[in-house]
Amino acid sequence: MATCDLVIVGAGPAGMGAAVEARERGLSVMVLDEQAGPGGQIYRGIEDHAANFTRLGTDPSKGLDLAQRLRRSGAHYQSVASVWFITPDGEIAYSVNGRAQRITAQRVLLATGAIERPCPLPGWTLPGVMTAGAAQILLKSAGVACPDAVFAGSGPLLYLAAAQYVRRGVPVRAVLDTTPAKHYLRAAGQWRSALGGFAYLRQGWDLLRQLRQAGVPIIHGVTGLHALGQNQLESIQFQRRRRWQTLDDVSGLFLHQGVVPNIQAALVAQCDRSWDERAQCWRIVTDAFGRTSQPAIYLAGDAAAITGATCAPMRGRLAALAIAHALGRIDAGRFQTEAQHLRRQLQRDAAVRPFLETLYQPAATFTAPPDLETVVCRCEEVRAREIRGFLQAGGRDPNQFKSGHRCGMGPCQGRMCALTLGHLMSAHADDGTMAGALRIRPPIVPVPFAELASLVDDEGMR
Amino acid sequence: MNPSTDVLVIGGGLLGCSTALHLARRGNTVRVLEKDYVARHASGVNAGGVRSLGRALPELPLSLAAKQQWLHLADLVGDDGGFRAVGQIRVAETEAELERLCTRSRTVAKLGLDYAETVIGREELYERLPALARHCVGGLYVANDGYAQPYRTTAAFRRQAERLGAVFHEGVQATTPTYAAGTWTVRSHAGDDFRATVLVNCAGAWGGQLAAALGDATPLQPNGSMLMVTTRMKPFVGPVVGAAGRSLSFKQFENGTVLIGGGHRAPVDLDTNHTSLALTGLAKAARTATDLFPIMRCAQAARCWSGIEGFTPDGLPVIGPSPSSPALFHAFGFSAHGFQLGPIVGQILAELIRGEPASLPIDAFRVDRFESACRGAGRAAP
Repeated sequence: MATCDLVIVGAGPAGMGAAVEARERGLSVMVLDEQAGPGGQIYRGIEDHAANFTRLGTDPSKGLDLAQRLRRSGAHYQSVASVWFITPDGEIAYSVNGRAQRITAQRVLLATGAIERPCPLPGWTLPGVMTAGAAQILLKSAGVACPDAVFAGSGPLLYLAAAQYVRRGVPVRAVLDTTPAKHYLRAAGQWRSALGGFAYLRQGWDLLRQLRQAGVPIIHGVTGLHALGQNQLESIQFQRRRRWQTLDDVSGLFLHQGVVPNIQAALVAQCDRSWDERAQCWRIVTDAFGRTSQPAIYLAGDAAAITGATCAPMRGRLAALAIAHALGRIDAGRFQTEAQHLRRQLQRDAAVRPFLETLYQPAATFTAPPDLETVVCRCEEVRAREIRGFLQAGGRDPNQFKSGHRCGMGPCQGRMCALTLGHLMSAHADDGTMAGALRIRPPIVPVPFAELASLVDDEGMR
Repeated sequence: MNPSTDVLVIGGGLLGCSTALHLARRGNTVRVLEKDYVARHASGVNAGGVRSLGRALPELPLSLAAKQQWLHLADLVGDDGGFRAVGQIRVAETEAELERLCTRSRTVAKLGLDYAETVIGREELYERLPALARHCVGGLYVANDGYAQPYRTTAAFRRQAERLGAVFHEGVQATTPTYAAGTWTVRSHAGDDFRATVLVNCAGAWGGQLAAALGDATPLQPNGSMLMVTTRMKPFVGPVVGAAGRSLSFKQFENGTVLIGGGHRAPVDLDTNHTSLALTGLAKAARTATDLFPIMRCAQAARCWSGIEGFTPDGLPVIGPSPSSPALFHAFGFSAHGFQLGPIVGQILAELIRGEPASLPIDAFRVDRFESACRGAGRAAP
């Protein structure tokens, strides 16, 4: 079986930064990336499509630079690798083009980035409804756009994706902002944090201005949203100031309620997690260097906590330094000095996070859907009504609900329902605290039996 | 303080729930203490196989009585537990394996139990299993075996026991029970006391620790049985399939998912509830599945898991009274094939607890059998 010092899962900014740093410290590095080329979600396809980024208003230079340094670093970069199994002690199974392989690493760094928070609401399973992030990827990588779509939700990506549509000349029907008014006040209380991220905020105002100039109606204070249609999206209803309004002939609804760390791989590796109340998501328990409860497993970038693409390379480098130190490649003194430098820089760049997390904390209506017919688990079609019944019968553990109702047992392994299930359960808990979390089982993504079975041959057995 | 009951059961698995149900049916007051939640471990996450086929001979009388309960489960607990009598077939891939199945069939026939494990030839085998790979030569078949939904079944026993007055305490971990003046006292980790005249150890993989603390040391080995399930597939197999020459338990549920078990094991941690999965074992199980059912090459493994189970050296469970403590009964160590026996063993325990003779033979399951084996044979491996 193949071995190396460090396997990095994901080649976004954090993974790329970590790979370069680890190679500079003399570690043998394998990067397993599900994409066709380095860049992650933010710099997806950057090597081939840098011009696209410029056209959409994103500066590609940072991403290009990282990708080029990764290519030159001497790390073994494996594209289109789907990692589906990780043990706490660093054994990994992955598939490339239908062939499964195993590798064992002394340390594993999970730079698996973020995923969009699920946005359960009535009708969200209709064709035509997708996340704003998915719409953005379609636009970026395939040039596919849906004219006159409605963007609805909260958070920076909502405005960014809508503005990118406008820049491409695709008309946008409306932006429905669900950020609760009281969050603006609460976030203003984090003024120190807001000042630190002034440049960041200016970007946001810029996007808003661009949308207004293009004549896109921006409707604030939306407190309810339904998608309607027979076999596909036809219209939407939204609530504002306690009044419901209808938008007819809507063929695209792009939802967004922020992003949360993508921790499925870390959970399969049995890393401990904790509930982050301000960010309203589960996080893997890590220290400043990305060390987890499993000594062989590290996390970096948005996979550990959402801090964005500017901080991610530094967080990747910090983890790589800690790993190099743990493996005896750099001494304690050097580790301290270099880590301190990175940590100071990170503190500056991450300053805006408390402000953003407070402002864009999703409203309860959109995390714990009040409509009992709302589908919670898309794979197994489990509705909010069943969760309420379970709670009324005295159920308290989401895993019990999973066993009894198949919620989270489908191929997505709870990615789309675990948070909603938790929110709905905590809404009914006596003290409102987050109930326990769904246990996540391997494989991280479904794997064909032929590929799984082929790993017997690797061991030289029948 | 909690009012004293006739019986206190430690362990909210199928055995604990079944024992509580059969006691409550007979009018006894009973509490069940479960450290996690009912059906959290082996009872709720096992492969769901319901079979008499291939049972160790001492277990057969129990298994056949259990079968009658499974066939009428709704009468007992108000729900059929998802039990489907689709039959079970053990497949022979070679003539030598088929010969062994023939021997087994003859052995079972001689027991005089009104029960047969029928040898089927190649033709009937492929009639019953059209998707089976073409190299197989025959099989052993029991028509009214099948499968059920483990979590649903255990939950049904619990609910029925509750309807009849049994009380369940979940999230209550027992410390070592004490016995004085004809009363058992069990203190929970939270400091609550539970008292009863009779104590029952249905603690599954944890049953060995509890038995040892009460003076009945048993060589119980905790381990995890690995399982995996596919995404939904078109129906292609009706009966539950095992293999004579390798580890396999293979079934397709009504929702189209296919579950593969069969005894590949991986370490567990009794203190943290952590289970692990060993890739090689999973790969072997996948290889067996694709060898026997070529259609499985395209199947997608959606989820792999392992349940915490206790294994005895001879693979037989521990069932019966404690020789060292009064008013104490054990039922644990079912070694990954206790699911089918759960309904009947709960009934047998209820009989013993009430001072009645057991209605079926259980002598082979004595808790002290390992002690004598170890002494007599100088620790020879069983």
